[in-house]
Amino acid sequence: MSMSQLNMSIRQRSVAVRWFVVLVFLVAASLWFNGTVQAQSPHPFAVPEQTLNTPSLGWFDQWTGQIAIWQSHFYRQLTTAVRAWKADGLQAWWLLVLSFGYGVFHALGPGHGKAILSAYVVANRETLKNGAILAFVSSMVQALVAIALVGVAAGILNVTGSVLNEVTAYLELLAYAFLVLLGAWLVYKHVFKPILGLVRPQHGDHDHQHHHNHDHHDHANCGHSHFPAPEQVAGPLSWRKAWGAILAIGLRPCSGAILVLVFALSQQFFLAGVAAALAMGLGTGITVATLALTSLTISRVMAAAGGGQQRPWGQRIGHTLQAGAALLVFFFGLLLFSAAWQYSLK
Amino acid sequence: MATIFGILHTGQFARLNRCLRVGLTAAVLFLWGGWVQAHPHMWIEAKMDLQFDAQGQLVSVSQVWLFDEMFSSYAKQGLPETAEGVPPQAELDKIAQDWMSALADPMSHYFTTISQGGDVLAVGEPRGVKAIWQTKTDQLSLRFELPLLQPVFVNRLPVTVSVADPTFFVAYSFEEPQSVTARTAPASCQAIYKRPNRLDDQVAARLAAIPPSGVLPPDLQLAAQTLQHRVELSCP
Repeated sequence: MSMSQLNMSIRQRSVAVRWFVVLVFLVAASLWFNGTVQAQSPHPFAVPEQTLNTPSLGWFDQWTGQIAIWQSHFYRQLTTAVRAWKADGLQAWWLLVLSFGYGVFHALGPGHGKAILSAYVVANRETLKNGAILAFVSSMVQALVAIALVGVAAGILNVTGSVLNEVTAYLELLAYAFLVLLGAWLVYKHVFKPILGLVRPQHGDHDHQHHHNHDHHDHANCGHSHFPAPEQVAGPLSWRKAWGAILAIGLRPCSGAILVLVFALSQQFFLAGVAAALAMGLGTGITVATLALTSLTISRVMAAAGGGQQRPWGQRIGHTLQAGAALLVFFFGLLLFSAAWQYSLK
Repeated sequence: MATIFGILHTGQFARLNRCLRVGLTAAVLFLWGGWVQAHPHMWIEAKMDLQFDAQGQLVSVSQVWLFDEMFSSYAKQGLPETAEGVPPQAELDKIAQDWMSALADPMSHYFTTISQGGDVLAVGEPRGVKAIWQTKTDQLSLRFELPLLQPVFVNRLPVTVSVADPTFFVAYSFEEPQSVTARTAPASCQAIYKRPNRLDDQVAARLAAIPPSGVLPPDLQLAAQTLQHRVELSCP
């Protein structure tokens, strides 16, 4: 056995050990979350809305409380607005404005879309343009899923509200499963790969074609530096990479959209519900895009404060942010999935 | 001098800066991820009648809950309908029974608590349960009566009936005229409705964050009591 063959087999073994570490980490994290997360038992008057217990965050509560008040303000007028449109076509704008406002505030308050997308774009170092596109596409997918769900299940099959609740719960579970997978992939790529040096020097597993300069000095313990400058990542959105994030956000329809669609159906005016759901999606998209772009900008400013991508500190900050965002997506996914899983068992 | 500056810039200072900023971003991302379900998702216009027997004892509390249109249409979805768009009474009764058994859960407990002098009075199985579809407004209402296991005289100690959803999923209102009555009560009795304190967002969110099985800290217990709709019944 030559020296290089010996080296190879040692390295293969250590790669296996590292994979084992990754696996143990993922399983341990899942078990821990399943133990700590407690979903509330279904409310006596169930609508498709999952309640999850979260720790109190002081001033943040006040902020979400205020948002909830604004959101309710729009929501409570939706029924009147649907009727007004039915009576007079010129009143359509009122429903659209209300739904749009509801979407804007809904995304600011509860909901997972904004957090996932913000973390996803930071972890993947998407361009600002791609971040905005992703935000709008995922929000509109969410609206379309609600329209399709209510249109088919309620409009054509005429199922009851409790069946709609169940279908929504399954969609939610599926969305969160995608989220966990997406998070695991991001954690692998941005945490385990750099820390454990799982990368082979040939770059055989790279899923992008652009050329980048590696900064190998000062990175002995970081394995391999893989951090293209913003102008290098700029380019068309990779749908192959993005569909996971879009599904993780979009598969779970928003309860407000479902309720307004069912109400419009009961008024024999489904079109109004479709328009309202799309307007809600647009409002949600604007909020999610704003938050995602803010996250991206903050992470860029921070990397720049460390001297930019060509400097060691800039790179380290960038790496840490990517890794943190990846972990955030993963743990968020586990949290939501565990809660939805326990909820579905009840 | 240049050396000191260099160390300060590239060493501890940069590290401190980095830690601060990473922490800050993590906090920002976490906060955006936070979601609190404090706000109501359905609205109920409630009415209450306190019922007495011939001896002048309080025997039961009957309520009518009128659901908002959005929830009403959701509850009606998928049910068969007559030509006038009214679901058959048998279907509505089934829904009403489902709701009452869900509401019997100790955590919900019909969202109603009857107490006298600080002691909670036990109630039996709800009676006269009926869901009614209001054709004029397209709204569903739920009627039920909670009988006291042990009828009580109110002349010595006043009775308090409080109504609230501890999860704040439902927002109640007793704002309609004649929402609280005591039609069969002795003449001396008086039922006074007390509106809940304005919902403090911070308190509401803290309450929403406590799991159903969790114990409220003392300050929240006090706050939660003032957030209920209360009817003070006294027969001096």
